[in-house]
Amino acid sequence: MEILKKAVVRLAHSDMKNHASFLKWSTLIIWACSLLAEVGTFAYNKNLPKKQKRFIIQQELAAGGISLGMMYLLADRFQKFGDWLVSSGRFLPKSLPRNLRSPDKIQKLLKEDKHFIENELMGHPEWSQKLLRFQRGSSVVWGTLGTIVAFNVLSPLISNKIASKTDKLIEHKETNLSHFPNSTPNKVTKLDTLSSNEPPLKPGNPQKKNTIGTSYPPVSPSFGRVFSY
Amino acid sequence: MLKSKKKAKMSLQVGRTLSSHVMQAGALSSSSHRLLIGATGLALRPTIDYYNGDVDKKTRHYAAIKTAVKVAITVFNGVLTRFLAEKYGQRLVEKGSIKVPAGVEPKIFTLAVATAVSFLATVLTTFTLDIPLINYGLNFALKHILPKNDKEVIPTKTANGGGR
Repeated sequence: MEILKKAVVRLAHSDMKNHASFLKWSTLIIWACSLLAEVGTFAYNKNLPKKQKRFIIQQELAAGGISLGMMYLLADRFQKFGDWLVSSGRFLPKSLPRNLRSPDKIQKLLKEDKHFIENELMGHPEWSQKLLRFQRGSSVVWGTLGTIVAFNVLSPLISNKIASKTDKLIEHKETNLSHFPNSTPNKVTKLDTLSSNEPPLKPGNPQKKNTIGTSYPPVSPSFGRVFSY
Repeated sequence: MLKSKKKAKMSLQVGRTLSSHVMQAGALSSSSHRLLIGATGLALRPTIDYYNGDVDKKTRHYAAIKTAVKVAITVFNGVLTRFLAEKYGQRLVEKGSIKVPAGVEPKIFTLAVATAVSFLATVLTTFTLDIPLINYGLNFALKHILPKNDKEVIPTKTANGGGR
């Protein structure tokens, strides 16, 4: 229990440092875990037809890999974009006084510059705190937007393309193999069972023996059956 | 002069209501975050799968239903687990089981603990709850939701020679 508490406190500290980053990373880790779990679930599902199961597993793996990569890239970029919008003075609350809107003053406000707070804000850090909260909010909003775009739009679109391509590739291989009917075990057993339905050869019946042909090299019973038609 | 004019045009200033919403988003709980992603996912992901032109109609059906079942279950599970875990995390701080460190605002620390607990709980429930529920939901959907023509193809245990 103590170990768990320590883990919680450690995670809480990293969350306090950057909430948007923590949300991004936790979503990423949970997604990786659920990807592993889901692929396992679909693989062991008995009610899914073989073809559909194959497609779905490929789709899951492709979607998972792409989502993870894309989520990291997009959520990270969007989150940083949200930060930048505020720090560069492009996205600000209207109530921020006009004399504090220049980029260099915004930078000082966001850094909680003590000298700046004492001289320009007369020792009142309210605007510094407000702007920091606004920036934190902006990075969470943009980070979430990036996650939504990566997760729900781009990754299903791209993964569907990849999964259908790999599926077609496997199908193509399978059809190529089926061009040699005698090599497939199913057909051989079918012919074998057909020939095994014939009445057994009687030792003293020369006519029956001749139908297979004693002068030919040894022929399989299934082949004999095919030639007799 | 021109540069400053350009900058002034590009900056977006939001009113009091919207800026307070943005500030609140900074303390977005893990469950709300999951709900936002999940709700949009529930609307978008099955639709994208259903209109996937690269596979035949039947496979599209299966893929869309699989996605809808998966997203619905994971969203429900994820949001509920996170919500309950957050409440538990808040309680831990309120009861004093986890003490607020000096110099940290209690509200921020409580949110951080709640987020941390919800993260750990979700990792645990992903393996223990999500898999059996997705499996059950998928079997249910395959038997009851798919069109009749598709259902006939599904090999059941009895058709498979007594579930060999």
